Amino acid sequence: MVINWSRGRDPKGAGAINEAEEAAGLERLSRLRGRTLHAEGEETKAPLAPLNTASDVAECKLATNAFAILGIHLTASATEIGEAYEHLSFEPGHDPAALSAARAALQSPSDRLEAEIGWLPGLPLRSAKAVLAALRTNDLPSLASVREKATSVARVNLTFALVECNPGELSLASQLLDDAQSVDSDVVLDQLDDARFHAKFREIDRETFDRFMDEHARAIAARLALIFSASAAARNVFTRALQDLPSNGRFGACFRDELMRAYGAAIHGPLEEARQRVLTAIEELRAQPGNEAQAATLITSLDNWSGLRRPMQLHEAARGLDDPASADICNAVRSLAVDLSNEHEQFEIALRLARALLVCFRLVPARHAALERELPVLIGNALIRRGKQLAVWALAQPTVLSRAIEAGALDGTSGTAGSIAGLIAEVDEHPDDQVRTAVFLIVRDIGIQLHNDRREVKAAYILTAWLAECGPPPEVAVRLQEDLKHFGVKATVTARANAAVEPNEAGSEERTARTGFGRARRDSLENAADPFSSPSAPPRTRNACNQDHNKVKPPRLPASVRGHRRRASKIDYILVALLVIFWLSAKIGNHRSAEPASAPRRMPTSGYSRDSRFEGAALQAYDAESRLRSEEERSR
Amino acid sequence: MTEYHQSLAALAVQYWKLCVAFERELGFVSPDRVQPGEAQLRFSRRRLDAILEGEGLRLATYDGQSWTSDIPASPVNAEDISDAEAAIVDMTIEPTIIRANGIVHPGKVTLREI
Repeated sequence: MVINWSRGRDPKGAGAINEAEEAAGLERLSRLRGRTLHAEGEETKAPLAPLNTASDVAECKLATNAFAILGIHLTASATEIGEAYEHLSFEPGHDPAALSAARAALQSPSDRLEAEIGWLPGLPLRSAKAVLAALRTNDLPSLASVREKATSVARVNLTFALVECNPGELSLASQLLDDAQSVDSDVVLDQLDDARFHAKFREIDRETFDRFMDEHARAIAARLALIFSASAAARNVFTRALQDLPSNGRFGACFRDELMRAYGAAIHGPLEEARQRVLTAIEELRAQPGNEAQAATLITSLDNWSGLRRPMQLHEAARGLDDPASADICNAVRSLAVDLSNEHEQFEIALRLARALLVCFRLVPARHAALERELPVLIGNALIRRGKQLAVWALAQPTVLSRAIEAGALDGTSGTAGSIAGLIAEVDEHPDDQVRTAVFLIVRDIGIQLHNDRREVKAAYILTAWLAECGPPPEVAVRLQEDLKHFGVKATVTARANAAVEPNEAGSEERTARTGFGRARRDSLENAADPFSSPSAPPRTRNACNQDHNKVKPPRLPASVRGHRRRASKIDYILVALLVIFWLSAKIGNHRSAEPASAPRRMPTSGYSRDSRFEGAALQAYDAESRLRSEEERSR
Repeated sequence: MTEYHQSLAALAVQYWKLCVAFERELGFVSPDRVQPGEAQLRFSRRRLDAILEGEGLRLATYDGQSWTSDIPASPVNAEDISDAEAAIVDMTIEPTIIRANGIVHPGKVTLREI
């Protein structure tokens, strides 16, 4: 190895290098080139779609760069700049003023830096020449081809030129967002410093460089924001691009911040209009709580608003923050949903609003988490409400329902029986056992009413047996088992409790406490941390509503399961009553005609329904055991 | 290689670049100031070499040499040289700082096809 200490030529001369060393040097050069190409290849994304060559590139920012106007590279010295100017000023088709301005810019340190950053730092000379040729001949495919090999700021500038020529090509705009994140300012500064040293220009001050890089990022981002805010499709592309976007380096962060600021400014008008529409819809729905059309209007307005705001929600979420504007709207709609649920019992509308909120604010982490915690209660309320409506419909046409049940409609999806089956299937997935219990009791009550009031014994039995197979909650399972006994069936009903929401489970308590939705723990929850700052109370469950307003009482529970003590005393009473009745019937059985076989059999009604009208002696008709004993007595 | 040597090498590279810039600026000063300037430049470069030598370091440039595999410098424009052509070192962007047992700071050069 020859080391030249005096910055001069090798004392032995260039001829001292033998051919073998020269060949090895060429091989190393080839390897270096291959390595660079390989690295570029790894970074290269999928090739872009063919571009429309009819677009004019003369007006794009890259084409108006001083280096592009003079047709020189970053390493051009002052002499080369002057020569290029002289050469081009004598050629037709060049604007002398533009040439003069370009030469002046490249000779001024600050203007030169702006031009350098806006040109193609780090791009090989051949590729730079190809770009110059493509800009002159309006050859966008060649420009796209060079872009695929370029890296860092050069790639950003080339992509931006393509975006300017094809503003409708949203994939290009999305690519630009990606490219901006891959810029490493330190590498760019090194490249520019090397080029300047080669061009015998002063090296670049770091602070000045950072300032110009930020300005460059802002200029591109402002233009890109206009493209992304132009249509709903563009906003969707923008949102998707932001979701997968890593945040790297100073340039990328500045680019992203400016992009969001410019986007916010661009959508300010439509966003404000959408916000007003949401607020108006909220007020109108408050005035008419049961108006489905107003609810639909509100949901549409909300969707429109969130579509505009979603990129900003993402941006804030990426920084670990909640979008403040989203918080206001979310609180307003949530407050309405709570009022609709608690005050007006419009559970279905409240549920629709809550689901719309979940979709619209899925990118606002704290709001979304709180809404997800609240949703089960709203769903529970809606299911109970739906169950009540089904009960009304079912008992309005008991014969139709009974025939349908007897025909196996509980296994289908049509009619009231199918709706009952759908309701049970839906509530089966609900995490709250209290809701499941309430809905199962409502359906069980339908069976009781069919049996007692409408004399549809078979349908009542099928419904009760079907319900017992649906995995009822433990509380209902006990009652269904009792019911089946009255039909002469001794079966064990398997209960299924949802372990995830067992009241004694620690996790469940914590979840409920944060949500503020518990019934049993309501008092302790009032002081729990609530992510919502809205003063409105959280929606309460159906039972809580009933207790507060005393409007609709829940189905009465059979006495046998109200409490152990009470159940024990009732059973004792029934047994004693049965014995007395058997004894009396044995005594007077010969003097009295037997009850006709077609007489309606009635289930013990005490506690089964608030509308129960059958007490005391009616019990004898149905109990299978008592019937058996009666027959034995008669035979004696 | 110690951190001290790394820092010293980085300082030496910047000093060398300053000398090159100073030499370039001498072309724009009045003729009566050129000779003192050149004397100062020679002195500064001698001092740089002496200080580095005292620490066991050497500074090397390769301007005009044929590009071989032995040259401990990176060509910044390797893409611009075609495979078939032999190349020479056109200009040193950053000198190489060498220690007895290895390279402390690899240099940067631009190549030119012959």
